[in-house]
Amino acid sequence: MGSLPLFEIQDLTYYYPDKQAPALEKINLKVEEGEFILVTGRSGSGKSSLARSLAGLIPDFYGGKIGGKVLFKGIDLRSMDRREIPRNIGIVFQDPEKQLVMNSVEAEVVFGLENIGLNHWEMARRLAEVLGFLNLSEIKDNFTSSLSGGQKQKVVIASVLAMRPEALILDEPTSQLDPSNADEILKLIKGLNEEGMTVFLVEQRLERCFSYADRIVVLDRGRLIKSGTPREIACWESDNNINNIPPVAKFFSICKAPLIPLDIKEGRFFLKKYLPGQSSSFVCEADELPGKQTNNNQDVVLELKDLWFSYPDGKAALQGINLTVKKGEIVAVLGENAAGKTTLLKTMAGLLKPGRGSVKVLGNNPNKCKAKDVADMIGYVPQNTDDYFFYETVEQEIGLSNNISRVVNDKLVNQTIDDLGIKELFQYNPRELSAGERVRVALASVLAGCPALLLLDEPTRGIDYNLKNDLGRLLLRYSENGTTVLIITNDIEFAAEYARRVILMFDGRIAGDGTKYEILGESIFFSPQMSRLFRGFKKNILTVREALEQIKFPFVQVKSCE
Amino acid sequence: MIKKGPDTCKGCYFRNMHPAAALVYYMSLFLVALLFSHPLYLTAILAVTILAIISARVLKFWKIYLKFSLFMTLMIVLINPLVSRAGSTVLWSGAQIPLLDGLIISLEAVYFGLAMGMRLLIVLSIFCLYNNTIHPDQTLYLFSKFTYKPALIISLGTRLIPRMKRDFENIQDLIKIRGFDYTSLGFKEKLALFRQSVNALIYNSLEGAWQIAEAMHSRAFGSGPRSQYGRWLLRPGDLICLAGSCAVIAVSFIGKAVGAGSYEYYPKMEYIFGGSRLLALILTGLLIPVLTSWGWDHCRFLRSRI
Repeated sequence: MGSLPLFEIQDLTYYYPDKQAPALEKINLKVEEGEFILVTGRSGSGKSSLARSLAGLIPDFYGGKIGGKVLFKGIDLRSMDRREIPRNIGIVFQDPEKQLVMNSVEAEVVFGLENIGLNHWEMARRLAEVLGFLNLSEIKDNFTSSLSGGQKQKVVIASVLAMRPEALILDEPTSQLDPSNADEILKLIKGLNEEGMTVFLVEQRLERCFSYADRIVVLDRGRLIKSGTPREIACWESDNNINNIPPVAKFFSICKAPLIPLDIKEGRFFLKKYLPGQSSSFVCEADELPGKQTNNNQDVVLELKDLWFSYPDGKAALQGINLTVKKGEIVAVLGENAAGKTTLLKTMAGLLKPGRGSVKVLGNNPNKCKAKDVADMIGYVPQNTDDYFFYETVEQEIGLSNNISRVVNDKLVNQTIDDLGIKELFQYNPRELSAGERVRVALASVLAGCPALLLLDEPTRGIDYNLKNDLGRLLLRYSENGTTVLIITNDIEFAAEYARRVILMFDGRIAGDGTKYEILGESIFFSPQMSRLFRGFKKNILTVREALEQIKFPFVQVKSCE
Repeated sequence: MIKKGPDTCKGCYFRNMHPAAALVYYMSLFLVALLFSHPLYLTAILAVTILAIISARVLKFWKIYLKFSLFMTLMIVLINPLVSRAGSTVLWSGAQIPLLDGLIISLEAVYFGLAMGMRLLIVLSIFCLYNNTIHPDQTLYLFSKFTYKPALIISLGTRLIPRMKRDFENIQDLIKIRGFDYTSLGFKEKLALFRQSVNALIYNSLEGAWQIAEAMHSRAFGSGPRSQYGRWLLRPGDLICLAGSCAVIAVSFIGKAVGAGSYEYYPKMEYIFGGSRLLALILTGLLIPVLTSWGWDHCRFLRSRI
């Protein structure tokens, strides 16, 4: 007889308190010791609920109705001592800010150890081990509030690892981080798995972790609809026209490659085999930069001249920014955390007054305009949509913008409401909605005002591939109708797909400004998967669509999953 | 945001003191400042406090407190002579002002105002020292043996207040960007909008509190008796400082009881250099941490011993 699986979920059905629809429905899953499980699915599909049920938080912390069982090494989690669960199963949530309990790094790490009543010397040993392992010893006395987002998430992981759990559950741990910090955290998680820890990772951004998984579990409306190896899932999603896989796997699965590469390394190895040299006959010749056409005749919507802004502590967040954005452009602003992106957006919106220089939106200085006039010109969706909602229902929220807009119920707006699926949410409280739904409602309420300039701060955070595509298409349509869109994003793939121009910020300055091909195509870190895949083979490929247009493979049409 | 002290004064002696030793030291400074109004005592205590601030490397944070204290001192110096009529050395008497029954400005009243301003500066400086050298987790550690949950709530609360302030500012920004201008609204509309923004803030805070509670629950908080990680060692230096501070407290109370160090400003100021033996004793105790800090910073041998 084989050993017991680490987790065994048997017919798990769960309803949150006061909810009619189940968050999880008849889930059956076994997780073996040492496995790396990646959980994916659309927004609101039950991924976080599944993670919480494995950590014993459902129903213990949340209440609600539950059916079925979650077994840990054959023992029902609900019958386990509450103190035993964190000693065996650790969980890390999305937002590190909302998990940190103590003020210093050291106190944070020992917090859980104190709760399980360990003695001083055992705590000292574990603290030394975990701080050393995660390279946090240097900052052990620091205030947690002074750490960067990546460091905060590392501290949270350290505090969970100090409990020495056998399984680590992570619910979108990189969603708040920039690409380099996200990469660091994911590599750390992979390293832990290689050391033998069982990892259960819930993620929306699959580009960097797809190849790490031993098995991928796909959820939809609370049900487990597919489980398999990454290659099987890539093939299955491609066959079922589901766009929830990273670009490299998606490209090769559409091409019906005999073996689907999962990451860039495998993909390039594959290309070397099938595309020998840049002058390959399989490559269509089209190396000139697309999207380079000048649009000098278009109206200038936004103009920044020698813009400086400093916070009260003296830190110069913006340093001599010069920028002109024309009507109908979609501009993505990239850069690491604290590069000045949000400050730039707030200055454009007239929320911050520049220390020096000028901001002009449609020729007006938003700092000197009345709030109502600014709202007519500019639509702004903040990073944290939690702050955005003031009313009890979605309908009221959208009505709020209608009251102040120049154009109401215009055909485009009604179409937007339909496209965003907001109508069916009209009677809901916006705060009860999922992250993706909140972004859609905030966007709809802003678009209802038909602003000339749309400023979006991280609009794709926490939303799935499908919603991202819907959002991207919507922005394209608005841009074709003359709306200028400026998006701050850490989502390189989204920028590559939908932006036409990319601005790269570093330390309060513009470090790069050009077409997406100039900036993303030549960057090492801020480049999409397809660009990295084709580097040295073919220029100016940033998206799967572009690759499919330009590359022809002579594959035998054999499906890899068969 | 200004980076708080504990991250910037890393490595200094005051930061490495046992929290109990540091807290008792600050209490002794505070007590002496409150017990004695003798100008010489106050000047000496202020000098010691400034030395401690320099040793703790928090001078740049102290400057913020200094500005406020100087302003308040100026106010006291201006207002006290106007309302106090007890001084006998009249500097200026003049116009009849309603309620003040004739304006008389005396030298004693000016000096008394200066002394009270100095006392305020000392108290604020001690607060600056405490705030920038003792980590809130250290305070939590000290008090948690007796009242862990209330101490934790206070600790979490102090961390959440700046976040709530930031959230409220964000909400106000969003109100503005969505086209509302408080200045153009009537009182009722203003009130309604303010209520909506407070609602949004409360929602956010409750959601944040729920998430923190979940994180605490997932790390076994409330699952039974807890232990405590005492990461602060009570070293010889701490013991010396603790003994010195306790001696200062004891000597100050005894001195006060026997009338040493007392000083009268009114009707005529006393001789300023009286009762300095008690002051010498107090200063000896209060200077111990400053001298220990010097040893910690400049002498490897002393550092290894304290």
